[in-house]
Amino acid sequence: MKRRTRRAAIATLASLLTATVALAGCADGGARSRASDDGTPVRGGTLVYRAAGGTKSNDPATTTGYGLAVPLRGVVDSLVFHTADGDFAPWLATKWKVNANATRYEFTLRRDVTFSNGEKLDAAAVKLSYQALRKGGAKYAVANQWIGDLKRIRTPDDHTVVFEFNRPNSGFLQAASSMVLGIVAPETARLPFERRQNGRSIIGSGPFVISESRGDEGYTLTKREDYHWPPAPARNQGPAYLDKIEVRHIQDNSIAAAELRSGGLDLLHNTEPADKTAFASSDEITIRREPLPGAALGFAVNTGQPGLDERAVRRALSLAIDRKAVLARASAIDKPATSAYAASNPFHTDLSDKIVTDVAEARRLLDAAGWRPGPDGVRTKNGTRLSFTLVYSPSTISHEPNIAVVQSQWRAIGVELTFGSLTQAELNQRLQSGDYSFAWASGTRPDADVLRSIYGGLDPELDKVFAGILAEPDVAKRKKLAVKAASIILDEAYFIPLYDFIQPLAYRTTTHLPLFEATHLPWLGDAWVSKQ
Amino acid sequence: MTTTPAETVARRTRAGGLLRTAGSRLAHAAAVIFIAYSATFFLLFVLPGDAVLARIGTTDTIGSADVSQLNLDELRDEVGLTDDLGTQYLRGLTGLLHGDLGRSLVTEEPVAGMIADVLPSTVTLAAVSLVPAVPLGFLLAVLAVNPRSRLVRAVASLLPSAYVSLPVFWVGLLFIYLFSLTLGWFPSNGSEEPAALVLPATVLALLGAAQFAQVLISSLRAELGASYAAVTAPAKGAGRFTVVCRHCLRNASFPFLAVFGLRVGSLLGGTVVVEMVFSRAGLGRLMVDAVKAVDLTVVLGLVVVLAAVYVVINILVDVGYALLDPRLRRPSGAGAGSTEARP
Repeated sequence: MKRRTRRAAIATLASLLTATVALAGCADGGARSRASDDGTPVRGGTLVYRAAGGTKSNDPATTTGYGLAVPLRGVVDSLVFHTADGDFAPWLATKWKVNANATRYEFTLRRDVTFSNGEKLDAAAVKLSYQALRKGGAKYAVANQWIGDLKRIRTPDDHTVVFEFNRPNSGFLQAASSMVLGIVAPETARLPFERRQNGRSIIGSGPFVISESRGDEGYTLTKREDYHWPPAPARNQGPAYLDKIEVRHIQDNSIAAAELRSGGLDLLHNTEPADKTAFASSDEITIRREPLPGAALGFAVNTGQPGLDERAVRRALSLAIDRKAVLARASAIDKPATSAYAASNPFHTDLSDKIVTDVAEARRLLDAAGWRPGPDGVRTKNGTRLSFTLVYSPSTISHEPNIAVVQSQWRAIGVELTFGSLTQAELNQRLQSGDYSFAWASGTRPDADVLRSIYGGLDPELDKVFAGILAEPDVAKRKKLAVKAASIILDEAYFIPLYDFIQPLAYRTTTHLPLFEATHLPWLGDAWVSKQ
Repeated sequence: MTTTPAETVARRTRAGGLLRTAGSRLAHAAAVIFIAYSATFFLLFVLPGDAVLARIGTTDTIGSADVSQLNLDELRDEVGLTDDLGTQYLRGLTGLLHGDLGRSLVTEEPVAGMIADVLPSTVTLAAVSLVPAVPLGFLLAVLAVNPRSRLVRAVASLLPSAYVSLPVFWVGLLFIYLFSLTLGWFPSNGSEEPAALVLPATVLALLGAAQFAQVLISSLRAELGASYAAVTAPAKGAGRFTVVCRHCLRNASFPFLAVFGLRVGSLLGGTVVVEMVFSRAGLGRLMVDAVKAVDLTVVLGLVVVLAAVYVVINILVDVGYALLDPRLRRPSGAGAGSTEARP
C-alpha cells in the first residue's frame, strides 16, 4: 500500500520535474541524432544500460528474465542462433542434426573458440556446462525444464556433442539458442552453485567479459579483442564495436527513465506506462514496439475452481471483455491479443476471430447455465458466487489499471473480481496448491512449446497436442500444431486473452542495435553508439 | 605508603562493582540478541511460502502449470527447510554460538560474507551523514533560542520540524532531479565514486540535523526556564549566549545523546528508502530483499548484527551520560551505569 502511494508520488514528481529537463534537452538532441544517421558503425565508446531488479548474481542459468539477460547475452555464446523470423543459424555449432522424433541432437562445434580464461571450447566443455545445470536440479528449475528429459550427453570426438533424450523434445534447439543455456567455461562449470552467484565468476566465450562487479549495484563488461566467432547473421564478424558496457541496477523506473532522457543512460529496460507513451512520441528516444515473443497476456484459468469448471462461464468471461477499452487505460502502444501466442512469437497465427466482445451473449450464456444475479448483483448458483481472485507477482503491478477495467466490465455481467500482487514465494505457493481462480498468464519464449508450461495438464486433448509439438522437429508442422493448441485454449476459454504487452527496450537515438535474436535480445557485438 | 584496610575494601568493592556491571552488561547484550533472534525466527514462519518457492522463478519464465508440477522437496531438504521448526531453531542457535550465521537459502553464500559485502557502503553513508549532522543540529538549536531576532528564532525552530515531516524518498528524488539530472553535479546512483555519496549523505545529514535540533530545542527551552539559567547565571553577569552555550547545552545534551544513539542505529539498519532511491547497496536493502525472498538465514543474520549494534550503541550512550554527568560516575550512583532513569 505504502509502496504504491510512493510509486504514484514518484511518477507525478517525475513527470513534473522532467518536463523541464526534457525541454532543455530538445535543442541539442536533434542535431546529435542527425549526425549519426549515416549508418556506419562507430568503433569504441561505452554503452550504459539499466535493467530493473538486478542483484550481484550474473549466472546466466538463473537469469531467466528478459531485462537482466540483455547484457549477459554478450558474455556467453550459445550452440545456435535463433533468428527473429524463427530460423536457426550457426554459432558455436557449425551444423546440427535432429532425428525424426526429436530425441537426438548432434552438434558439430567450431574449432577455433576459446573462453576468456584461455580454456578451449570443445565437446567436453559443452558437456560440462550442461552437466553443471543438471547437477543443480531445482536450483536451475527453468533451465532444467528447458533442457527437458535428458538421458545423456555423448562426446564422440572433440568437436561433436550429442544430446539424447528419453522423450521427444523439439523445443531443444530453441532452448540451446537461449542465453540461459549459454556455454560457460569448465572453470565456471566446476564451481559450486554459491560461487557461481558471485558477480565475476561467470566465464564465457562471448564478445564481452565481466571485468568488474559492483555487487548489487551493477557491473562492467569489457570487449574481448580476440573475438571472431559471432553468430552467422551478425554484420560484425570481429570483436565488438563497443569498448565497454556499463550495467547499472537503478532501482526506480521513473529515475531510470529520466536518466535516459538526460543522456545518463543509452539503453533502458522496464518503463512505466506514462514514460512509454512519452518515449513513443520522442524524437530523441526510440522505443521498440514489438511485444516480447511468447504467450499473450491475460488470465490463465484455474479450472479446478467452482464456476470456472464450466465452459459457458469461461466463455462468458472472455466475451464480456472489451479489449480496446482495457488498453485505453494503458500506454498507446500495446495491442489486443490475437491468439494465445504473442504476435511476435514465430509460431503465432492470427486467431482474432476467436477473441471477440459480445456482452449480450456473455449474459445469455450465464443465464442459460443457471447463474442468476444475487442481492449484491453477483451471480450465484447453488450457493456458489461468481467471485474470483487473480494473483500475480509484483512485476505485474503496472498492469493494475487495465485489470481494474476488466473488473468493472465483469461487474456489469454480475461477476466479481478481486486482484492483488503477492510475493514470489506466496504466489508460487498459491499456484502450487491451486488456491487461485486466475493466474497472470505470460511467458517469454519464442517457441510453440511456451503454452505447455501455462496450460499443461488441464485437458487431455490439449496435452496430446502439446506432446505432438514436442515430438515434431519440423517447423511447418509445429506451426500447424501450434494453431491447434491455441484454438483449443481459446475455444475452451482456458485463457482470457487481454493484450500483447510491449515492455521493450527504450534507447537514445544515438544507440544502434542492428540485430535482434528471436527472444528480442539485441546482439551486442553489432551494437554501437554515436554519441561522442 | 601502605593502604589502610578501609581503602583496600573500597577499591575491591569498586573493582567488583565494575566487574559486576560489565557482567550484567554482557548478560543483557546476550539476552537482547537472543530474544531478537528467537522472536524473528518464529515470526518469519508466518510469512507465506518459503525461500525455495521464492527462488524457482517467476510465472513469466516458469508457467503456472510447471509450478504445480514441480517437486521441490529435494531442494528444501538440501537447505534444511524440511526439518521441524525446533531442529531448525536449535541449529540456528548453535551456529550463532559458534559465530556462524549460516548460508543464504537463495544464493547459498555465507550470510556473514553477504553482510560484510554491503556493510562498508552503509557504514560510510552513516558516518558521512552524521559528521555534518551534529554541528548543524547544535547550530540550529542555538539559533532557535539565542538570537534577539524573533524571526531568526522562529525560522530556526520551524525548519527542523518541516524537514522531518518531508518523506525521505521525496527529498531524495528532488535532489536527484535538481542536482543530478538538471545540473549534472553529482551521479544519481551507485556507491563507487565518492561523488555518489554526496546526495544520499546530504539527505540523511539534513534529516539527522533536524532530529537533533528538535530535541535540543525543546530541552534547551526547558533548561533556560530552570532557575540556574533564568536567575543565577544572569545574576552573576553571564550573557544569554554564555548561559545557553556554557550552562544549558551540557544539560540539554542528555536527550540529544539518546536520539543520537537511535539515529546511528536507524542509519545502519533503516536507510532502505535512501538506498533504493539512490540505487545503493546496503544493509537495509539486503534486509528488504531477504524478507521478500523469505531468505530466513539472511534476515536472522541481519537481525543479530543490528541487535548487536544497538546493544553497543546503548553502552556507548551510557558512557556518554557518565562523561556528561559526574554524579553518574560515583559508585553509589544507584549501581553505576544504570542510567535508564534518565530519558
